[in-house]
Amino acid sequence: MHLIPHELYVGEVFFSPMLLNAALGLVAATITARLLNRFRVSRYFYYPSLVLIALTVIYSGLFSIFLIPG
Amino acid sequence: MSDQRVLSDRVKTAIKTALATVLAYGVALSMDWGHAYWAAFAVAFCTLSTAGESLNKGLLRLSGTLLGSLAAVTLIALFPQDRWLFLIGMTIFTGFCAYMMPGNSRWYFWHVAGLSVPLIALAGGANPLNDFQTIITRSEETALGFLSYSLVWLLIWPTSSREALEDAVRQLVAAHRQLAAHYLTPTIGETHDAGPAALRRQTTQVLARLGGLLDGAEIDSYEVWEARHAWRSLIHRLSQLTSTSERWRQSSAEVREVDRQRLIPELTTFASELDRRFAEIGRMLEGGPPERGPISAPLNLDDNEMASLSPFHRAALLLYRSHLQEIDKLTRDLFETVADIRNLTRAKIEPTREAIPLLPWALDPERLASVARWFTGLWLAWLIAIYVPDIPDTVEFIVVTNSLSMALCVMPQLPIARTFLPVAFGIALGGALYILEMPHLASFAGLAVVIFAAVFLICYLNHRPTQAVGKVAGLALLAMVMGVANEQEYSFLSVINLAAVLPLIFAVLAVATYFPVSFRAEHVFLRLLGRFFRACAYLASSLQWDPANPPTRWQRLRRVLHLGDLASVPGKLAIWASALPAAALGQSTTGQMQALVESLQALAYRMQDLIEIRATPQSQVLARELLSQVRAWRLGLQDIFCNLSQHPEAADFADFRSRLDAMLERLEEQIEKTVAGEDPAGIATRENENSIRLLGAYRGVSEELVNFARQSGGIDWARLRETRF
Repeated sequence: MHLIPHELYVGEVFFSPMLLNAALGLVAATITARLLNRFRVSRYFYYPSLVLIALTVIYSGLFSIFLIPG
Repeated sequence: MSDQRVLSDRVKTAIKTALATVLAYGVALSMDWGHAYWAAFAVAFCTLSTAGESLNKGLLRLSGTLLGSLAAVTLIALFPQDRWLFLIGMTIFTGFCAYMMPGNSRWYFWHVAGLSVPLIALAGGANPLNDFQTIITRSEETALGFLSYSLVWLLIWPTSSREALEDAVRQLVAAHRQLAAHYLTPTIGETHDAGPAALRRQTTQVLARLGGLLDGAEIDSYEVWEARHAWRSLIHRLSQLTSTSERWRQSSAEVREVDRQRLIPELTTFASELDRRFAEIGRMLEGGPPERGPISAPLNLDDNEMASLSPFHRAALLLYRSHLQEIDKLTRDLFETVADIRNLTRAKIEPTREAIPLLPWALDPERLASVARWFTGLWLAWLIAIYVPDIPDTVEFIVVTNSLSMALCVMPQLPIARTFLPVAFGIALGGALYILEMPHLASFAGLAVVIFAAVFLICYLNHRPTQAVGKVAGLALLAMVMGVANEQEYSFLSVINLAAVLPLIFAVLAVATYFPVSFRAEHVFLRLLGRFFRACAYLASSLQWDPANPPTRWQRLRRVLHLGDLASVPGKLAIWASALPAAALGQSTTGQMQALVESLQALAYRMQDLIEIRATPQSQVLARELLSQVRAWRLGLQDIFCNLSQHPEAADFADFRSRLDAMLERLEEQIEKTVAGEDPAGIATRENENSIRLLGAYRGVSEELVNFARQSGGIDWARLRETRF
């Protein structure tokens, strides 16, 4: 595990890996929500809006562990 | 070939907006004023289809800016060193502005006043001395933008608001003429006919535009300004005519089985007089004098024929005739008002204005919910800006969030996601020009060409009225990103920061859409439906009030609030029904939803008729004999309304129909028995007629409930209630 934080960069612009992970997490959560709506599974959730936020956090966490570790 | 044929309105409007923007930038830069893009904002936000409408909106912006500036200076002077007190004071002022916006034709004034306070307070920076300079600059730039597009709109392809107003009124009168002709033919009440349905939609749409057109026409036409009170009366009477015409259409369904020609011998004369009256009004609006004035067409009933009818047919016919009499009065007033506007009469017409009940308007729960949404959005933005470190462009973040949250108070049904693409396009276009094109420009001429092309492109792509939000968002972001100034600075970071902060703004608005009050279309639709039936239940219970024993103040207050709900909720339901997403509709269609809303509108009209007739003096004989049955009927209605307010899907068509038929049969027998035992001379009194009309009004409400149940059967309630992301 790297203890020293590192950045991603595009051209000369440096940014945190967490930003990319969060963006990807939001996209993945949105796609999941669309699929859950499509197959009418969302009706089993009490408050889907909170579930969307939870999914975003879970995906972002998973991505930051397995995809682009910070 | 004239240029009117060469260029479409779409191209002309885009050219005019682009030209006005270039002119505003040109003057602001030549005067070396800061924040030149504020002048471009005034152009972007205020340009409408006619000169008068644009001038009116510009004046509202200017006066709103002045009020907002005054409030900002006062708050800064009162709380120069106390952040929280300043924020509370600002929230109270801006909250009041947000509260005043819904249901107000001058909403834009309040919008600008509300958004100006945080803008002016924050744009001045840490030094309060800058704030005065900011206020002056903001006012100057707004006035400059207003002046620029006023000049362009008045000099290049001018479009008169007066002509637009007169065209709209002519269109409305012609639609009413056709509708009247249709309703007075033997196919009365044929709802499956697409013709009258389209005409009814047209009347509603044109009527909704008239207020704005008149506001504009008053500014760009001296003739309209001179006769403004008469024009306001005309619009009020057209609005009354539209609602009476709708009630007439509904009441005609119940007299379809009776021979109206025989019962109202002068009906044919009335029909031709009505048609001629509409034609004369149209002729006067065209500028010509009328051939002759309105003549009297009494609608007397044939007493012998009336005696042969059943009590409920008699009641339906009386209601039908009362609507015709109302239409007769309204068209006569319309004729006189148009003659007054055209100076064709010496008679002074008393101006009338729509009296909006203040209390239901002030305490409308949806209005308060909109303010709660604005409050959540603004305070989330404040707290994020204060407590989350390194949020880029905090001023833009707070100001734009506040402005968009306030705009949502007048368009609560607008999906946030729909504005995202135009905003992204505005940033992308502005960013590309700012980074790639502007550094190569050496003179204002080059810059003017670039600005003209970009503004033209955005206006051309967003030309439809439904794309107005997209156009405004695109133009505003373009101006913000380009940040044109005499000493131009280029920073890639400023574009990136703005692009990064916008998703944050949308995230805040998304949170405010769900919390504390949900503004999802299906949630609001069900909420309004419940409110409508609760109002019906209370008003039905108020029918038992004894005129000799006046209700308490609290009861009267509740009644006024529920009457307000009865009048306003069906219109709101129509807006939200059209905003329902396909996922919420499920198996039902938009047409079925609209039919459901129409049945609720009809029910509202019937309830209003019932309440009105209940207030008239009633026959003691009929009241005594039918007391228990009418009481049972009222309690039954109350029970159904209470149930529907919680479970609108519980409306059972077959059950309602059979219960109503059984009630009608029982009452008819009872009335016949009562009438047979009474002196015939006493039966024809006005009180007896009122009592028969009251029974007819009960039947009308019940029939519309049955109709609601029929429409409700086609709605996929399970999908409408289903939770989804």
